[in-house]
Amino acid sequence: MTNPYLPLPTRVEAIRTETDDRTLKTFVLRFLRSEDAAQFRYRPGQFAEISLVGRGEAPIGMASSPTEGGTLAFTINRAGIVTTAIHNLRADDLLGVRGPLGNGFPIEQLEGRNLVIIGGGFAFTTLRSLAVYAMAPENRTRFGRLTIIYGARRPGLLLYKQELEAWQRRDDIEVAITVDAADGEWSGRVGFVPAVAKQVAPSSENAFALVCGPPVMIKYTLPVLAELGFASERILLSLEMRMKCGIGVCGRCNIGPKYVCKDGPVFSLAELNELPQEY
Amino acid sequence: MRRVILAEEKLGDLIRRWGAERRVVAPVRRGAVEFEPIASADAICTDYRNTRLPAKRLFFQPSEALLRFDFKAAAEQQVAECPADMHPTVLFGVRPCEARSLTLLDRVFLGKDYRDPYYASRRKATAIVVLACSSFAPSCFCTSVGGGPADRTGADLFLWDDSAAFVVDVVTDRGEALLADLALPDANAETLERIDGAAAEVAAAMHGVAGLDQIGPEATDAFDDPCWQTIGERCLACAACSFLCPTCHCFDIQDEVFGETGRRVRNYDACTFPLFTLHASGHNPRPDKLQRLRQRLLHKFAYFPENFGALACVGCGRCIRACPAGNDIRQWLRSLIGVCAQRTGKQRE
Repeated sequence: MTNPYLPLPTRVEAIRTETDDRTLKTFVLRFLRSEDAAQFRYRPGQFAEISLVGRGEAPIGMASSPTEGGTLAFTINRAGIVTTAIHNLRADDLLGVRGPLGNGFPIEQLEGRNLVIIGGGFAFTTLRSLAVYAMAPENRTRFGRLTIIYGARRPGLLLYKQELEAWQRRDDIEVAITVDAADGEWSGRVGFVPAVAKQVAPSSENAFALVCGPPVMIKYTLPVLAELGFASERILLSLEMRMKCGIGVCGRCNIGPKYVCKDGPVFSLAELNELPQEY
Repeated sequence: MRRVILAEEKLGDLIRRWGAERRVVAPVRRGAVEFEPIASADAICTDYRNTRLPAKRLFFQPSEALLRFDFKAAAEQQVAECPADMHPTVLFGVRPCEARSLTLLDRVFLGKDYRDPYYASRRKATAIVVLACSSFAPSCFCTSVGGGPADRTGADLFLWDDSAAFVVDVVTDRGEALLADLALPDANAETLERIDGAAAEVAAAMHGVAGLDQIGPEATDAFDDPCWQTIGERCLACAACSFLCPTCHCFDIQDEVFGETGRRVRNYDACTFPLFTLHASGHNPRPDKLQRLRQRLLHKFAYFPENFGALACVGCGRCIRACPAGNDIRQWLRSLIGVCAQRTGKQRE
């Protein structure tokens, strides 16, 4: 059995600065060894420990979709020592990847369903993975209606802007992009994500809602979804926690008996309601 | 199970035989009694109650390098794993609670999805020879958590000190192999009755905690009970209990750099430390001492049982002996059991 603490070496292929405050960058990584690339099978919603040799590791959700081919993408918020050091990297630098880790979104359960994807701020990354996965030509017919509601505090903080524009031009999905506060350039929606969700009012029939965002957004979005008839088993959330090992051993990411790294990060609201409020 | 007699003077021979091919680690008295590699049976201390440090550290080390870095190497060779090989070892003379603790750590480190290679290699290379307890410390409470002075869980050989001889229970094939070629006579019925009776007396005299099985799902219902405030107030968050606990397994991983080389090291960590769960964003799910202590107790007595079907405590009492604030986990558990019983009672009404 391989050593679960050993990262797979990758090279930074591209770096995109996502937000105008420069705190979020997307790193596109390519495995150095083709056998690693072939072996690394993941699903939307999983994460990896990104390893910068000499600085340490940080658990980051995968923003790429397995349908996108040989590279991985991680959108990384500059927050602590490791992520700051990663932000200072350049193309061609080396990064390690340990993963894929966590459960990811339950694709088998989602197939044949309508998907309502609701994201806020930089938590949109793994939702982007799921959206791209579901929109991929080979997968699109495996899912029903696709509704995407995504918001940020202001236009400059929206991730994946070019991609969002392309999505808005598609006629097989419904996309609502919103900002809490507009600036001069913005001609789109203005309003908080929960309010926009209420306006868009996606049907809960045969649908799953997938919600990632800041706690305050989630707090006010959940009642909207309940009102629309989403059962708590049909609302999926992805949690963040401080982690080290990523494999359920080091003991710091648990909520009650569940480990976010191993049993999560994706939980249904029904599952979370059974756990102590300690996250 | 074979139960044979090993004359005390033959122990030296046995240790010498083991030592020819393996490392022998045994309790040695230097002020405190600790596990150390020994060269001969003369160094072994058998009249001790328990070591200060748990045997856990021989398998899951307080600080150990997982990876080595070489920044001058080619891209693919910059990171290498530190070898997880371990010299064959006999761990002689651990107490039953200690052997039991290893079977609990196995559930964490030798999971079905991931195996910790460092822990796994040491477990695989080590035979465990347990020494039954003929007395107990005031802080011992193994009988309350499923163990006991005659608990053979985790033992390959289980020894009873019977004045001029040892009664040896051959628990596993590995234990049998440790005695290979030795013609040892079977223990007679009278001897067995004597030692088993003595163990039962020791077990009966211990200051236990009754009703730990009642801390089940009710404990998470009691998550917001005021009892945690009272419990938390008495904790200094020094984590002495966690570092000495034979079942605590939390760790941190840090990188160290020395010029053009470096290493990734894991170090013991503890859920009672404030930084343990602190996110880089500044958010902390367990900012208060009481929340962290609640985590420690519920992990051992509610979450671990739910995940692995056993309490994550062996009743060795090290946390009681080491606590600078004089806290006794048994007292905390009694109040928790009380709260749980009250809640269950209320539910029934």
